[in-house]
Amino acid sequence: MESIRDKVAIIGMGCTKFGENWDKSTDDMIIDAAYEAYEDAGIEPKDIGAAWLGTYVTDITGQMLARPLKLDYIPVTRVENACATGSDALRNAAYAVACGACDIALALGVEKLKDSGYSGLPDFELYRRQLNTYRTRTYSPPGHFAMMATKYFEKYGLGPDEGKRVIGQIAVKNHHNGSLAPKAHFHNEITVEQVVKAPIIAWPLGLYDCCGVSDGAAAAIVTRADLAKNFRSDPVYVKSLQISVGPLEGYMNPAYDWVHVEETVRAGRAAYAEAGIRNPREEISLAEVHDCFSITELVIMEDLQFSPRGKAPEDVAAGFFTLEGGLPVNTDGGLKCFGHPIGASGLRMMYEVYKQLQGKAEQRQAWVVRRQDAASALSSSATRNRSTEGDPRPPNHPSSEGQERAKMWRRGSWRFYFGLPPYGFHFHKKRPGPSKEEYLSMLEDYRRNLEDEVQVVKKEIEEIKKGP
Amino acid sequence: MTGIISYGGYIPLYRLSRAEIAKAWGVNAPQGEKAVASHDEDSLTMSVAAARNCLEGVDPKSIGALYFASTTSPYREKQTAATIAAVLGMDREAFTADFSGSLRAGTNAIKAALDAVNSESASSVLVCAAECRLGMPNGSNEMSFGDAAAAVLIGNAGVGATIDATYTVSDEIIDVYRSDRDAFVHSWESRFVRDYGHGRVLPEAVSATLKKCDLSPKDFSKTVLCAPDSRQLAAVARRLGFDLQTQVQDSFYAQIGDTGTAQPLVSLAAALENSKAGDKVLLASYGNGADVIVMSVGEEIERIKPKRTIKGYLETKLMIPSYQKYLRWRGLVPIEPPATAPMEQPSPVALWRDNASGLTLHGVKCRKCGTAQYPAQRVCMVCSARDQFDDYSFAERTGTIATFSHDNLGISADPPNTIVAVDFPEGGRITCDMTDRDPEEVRIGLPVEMTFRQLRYIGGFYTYWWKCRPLREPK
Repeated sequence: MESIRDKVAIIGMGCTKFGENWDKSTDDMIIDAAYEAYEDAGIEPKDIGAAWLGTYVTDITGQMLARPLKLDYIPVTRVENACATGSDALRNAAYAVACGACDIALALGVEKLKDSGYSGLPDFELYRRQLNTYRTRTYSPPGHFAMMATKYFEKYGLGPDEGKRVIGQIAVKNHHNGSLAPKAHFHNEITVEQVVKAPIIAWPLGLYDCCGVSDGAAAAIVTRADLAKNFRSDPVYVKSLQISVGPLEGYMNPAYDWVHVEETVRAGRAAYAEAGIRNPREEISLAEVHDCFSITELVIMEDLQFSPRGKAPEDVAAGFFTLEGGLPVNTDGGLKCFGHPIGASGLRMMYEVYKQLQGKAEQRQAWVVRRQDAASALSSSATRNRSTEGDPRPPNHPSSEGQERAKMWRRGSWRFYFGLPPYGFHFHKKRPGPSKEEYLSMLEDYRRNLEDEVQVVKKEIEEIKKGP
Repeated sequence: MTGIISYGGYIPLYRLSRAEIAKAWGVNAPQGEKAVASHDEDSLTMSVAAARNCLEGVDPKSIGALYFASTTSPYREKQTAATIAAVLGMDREAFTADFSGSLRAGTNAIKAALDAVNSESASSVLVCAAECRLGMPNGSNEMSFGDAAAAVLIGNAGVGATIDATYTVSDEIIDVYRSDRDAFVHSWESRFVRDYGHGRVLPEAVSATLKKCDLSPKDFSKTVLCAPDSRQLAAVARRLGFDLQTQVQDSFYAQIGDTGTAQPLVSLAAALENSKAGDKVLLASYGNGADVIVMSVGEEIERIKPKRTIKGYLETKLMIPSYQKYLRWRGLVPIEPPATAPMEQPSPVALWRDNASGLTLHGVKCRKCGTAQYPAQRVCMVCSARDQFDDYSFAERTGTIATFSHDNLGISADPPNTIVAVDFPEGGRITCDMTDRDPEEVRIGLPVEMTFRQLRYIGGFYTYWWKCRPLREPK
């Protein structure tokens, strides 16, 4: 079986402001996201060979995309896969370019939820119909995930207050990250006290445990990996795209334990295998995951092997998933704070990963990624002069130890993405970054190198001045 | 030798204190409480509950007919008896009929059942009587009406109480009535109703019966006289010469109120629970006439005592905390709809296809791997065998809560909507709503039983399904 690894690259992305976009129509958001992506990729609309549109309930058919963008009779397919809709649109576009059916494809996700007049999600009778009966549950989406929280607390011996504080820290973290993301739905910081004391939506989940219901759109331009550098110097390469769809048997099979999501486990495992990841906790630098509810993010941390079973609360408490932590998660605020226009969310997650990898995440640039990128840059810089043939200047003299260390981080930059219903998620992979001490020592080496170089340059200047 | 071969009552869990109603309207508080059907109960679901209690150990396929009696059928046109028969899993060739029009509908149905068995048109007939009447807010009927149901199985094999004689009289009078244009029951001036309605006709009918059978009041160990309240019951009993302390069956006016069509059958169930072989019981109901039934209790009475007694139902209750909640449950005040998408109208076609799963709570059990599953599948969720299943009913099984949530966004007239996953020890899991629960008591591992309830009313018809509830047992 062939793999999609290293065959596809993302060369442009766009994302609208998420939120209650009263003044933007679905078409407005489609156009804004698509043209930002065109511009970012440096392409013209006519360069698009095929398109995939992800939307959950806003409208039907590919014409929904072709009409506002005036696409030129190219193939357009509407994709719907619940909360993984956007991720799946990207997956389909990536497969198309990987197989050579077209050179450049557009994946665009959009949702217009706030024209409905409801504060919640639209008609979930759609879900009920999937069970082929009208005599089914009457619960809301938060109710469904709250059942996971109830069981998680019970299984791992967390009292209701203790459990609410654990998941509350996830909401606090995501609001902090979102406050640094200009396009996020919300920009307010919150405290654990606020989360715990908020009105109950579906016990034990309160208002701040639930994601925003938002309008928004996000888009990606993908091309074959071998063409990517023609468009930009820093494309993001796809290492894996995996999706797992289960038979929804948790509702009827007592074997299901309510403290994990089998689809997430399976898709994660498949993606790691495709990308060559052996130790996700150590090897993954950054993750965007589907935090529709705070409990969902907690469980995903275990399903994706970031934390051992039952241990995610310890990692949450230790700040492991914060911007400054060992594995930053949902650096843009996630669904919680960035918002959840269903069909757009998967592509919005990819947008954040893309910006982080390009070092364009501004105030919320993840420390681990920044450090790795800096380390790579340092290693390039430290070796530059030595490798430049014909350079009249004498080679500088960094410590050989520092140079070797710097070289370590230069190799193998792995980046990948995958998604699945009900969770789409995306991340990239690089060699593990240096520890803080190693990094400081590298900087010291670099400083010494620069000082040496300054001395060399000063000397050269004086020699030239003294010269005839 | 035709008579009662099985019986069982049902009283909803909830009670509303009359003082609570009085408080809302600023009037003097009468004594007692009334039984109130939960927001998801009606005469149909309460009949199912009573019938299931009555039919413990009886094969529903062996029953020849089902009569539903009530003045509060959920439908004016659409037969409730047919729905109940389907829920109980009765043979489709069993004769079904709805009896209505007066509070005598229950005893009308018993008389018709007796005739059917005696004429051998049916081997046994299940009679379900249920009531869920509305009095106008701030009126005396609102104070007195209560909700309940009871069922009796009439047959001629294994009879616990033989029906020796029946007497009936009809009587045209406008005393208590509800026209086809009204949601509420109305009564003419109370003294006219008391003295020239119930107070005239019921004693007349009982006296005529005694004369016809050559019996006197002292021949009866228990007399079940239906009456709108305890005072009227006492007055009529005294006038007929029954001893209030020893002979007259309480109609539970203080505990559950006047339960209308259900009252004669609920009171009869209570009387039979405390009867022994050799006892004679008289049952008399009123409503545009009177029906009187004379019964002799036999040896089988001990065997047919239901698992859930009226005494047990009276002892297990939850108080409705406020009159507003009662108004909401009965739909008596317009409520701002939730800010969520309105429910789509269900498809009667899909509902019809789904009758086995939806109405009888039948799932399947895999012939290859033995896994029980609900709803019915065509491909086994464990071994993937296709179409190799046996029918498997979950209705009478108890399970435990695997997990739950109290969902404030879920649509319910009794928020929060408690949603649970129920695991059954013999296999299978059903994710459903929980009803008749105190949210504080809900926990993982709590034992629950299944109960048939109204799920939705959209577009002019009701959808019913099963929910779970805590085991209803006296504490």
